[in-house]
Amino acid sequence: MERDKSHMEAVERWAEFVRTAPRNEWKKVMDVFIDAVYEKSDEFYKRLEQTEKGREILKRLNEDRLKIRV
Amino acid sequence: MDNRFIRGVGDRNILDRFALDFCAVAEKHVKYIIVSGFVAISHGRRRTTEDIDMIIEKISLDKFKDFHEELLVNGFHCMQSTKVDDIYDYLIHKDSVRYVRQGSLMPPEMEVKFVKDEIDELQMATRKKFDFTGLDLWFSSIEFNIAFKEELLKAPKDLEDARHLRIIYKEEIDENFINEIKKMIKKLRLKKNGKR
Repeated sequence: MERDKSHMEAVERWAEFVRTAPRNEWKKVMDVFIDAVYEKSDEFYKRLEQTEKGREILKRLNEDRLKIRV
Repeated sequence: MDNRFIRGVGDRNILDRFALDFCAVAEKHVKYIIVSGFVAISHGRRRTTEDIDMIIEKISLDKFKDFHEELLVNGFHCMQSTKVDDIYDYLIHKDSVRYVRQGSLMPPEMEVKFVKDEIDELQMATRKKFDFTGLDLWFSSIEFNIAFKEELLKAPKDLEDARHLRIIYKEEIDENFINEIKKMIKKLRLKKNGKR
């Protein structure tokens, strides 16, 4: 799907930052951002464990993961 | 605030804190929905997204000025312009605008756009909150997210998102509704863009 112009501007802005800033600087921003995604995911699965319905969903997700590996 | 979502804001990760702070302002001024990648991530998908996508109802320039001013007071900044008339001009011409925290040019970003057609209007009318996300935010329905990802977006990450959401909401998904939305997408988004 075609993205609008503000999306490409954001991509270019980030690339420019990576090009010009010291690695430590942009890596710090990126690390916090990526960590947040993993924290969100961990928190989601912890929430699922707390209810019966959630545990059912977890079971389905695990079954699907195993299916893909086979 | 719905009791199901109460949790200290201070212990939130950077993405959730950003979304909650932004939406707390939005809620006072405009009807909104969060769509796409952030919906999947909020349901446990382990992947990144460059921005959080928000669709808002079309509002007048005066109303938008109030919304924008309160975003500034709450520490947000629009990347496109500091002039509210210019920002509104982007929105009215179906472009999106991006807000970040003041003093930052980097993610997370909120990509904001106006509803653009009857698909978005229906998306807005059928918005939902999802307990499992732990977030007191308005999202587009699971059916809409699946339909967009399977019919329009179709990148591997989108198809994986759709599969993930289908597993989570297996017992609740309205398949007829998904098919209706897909028909609308074909008619209003794909034909218009000459994709079919």
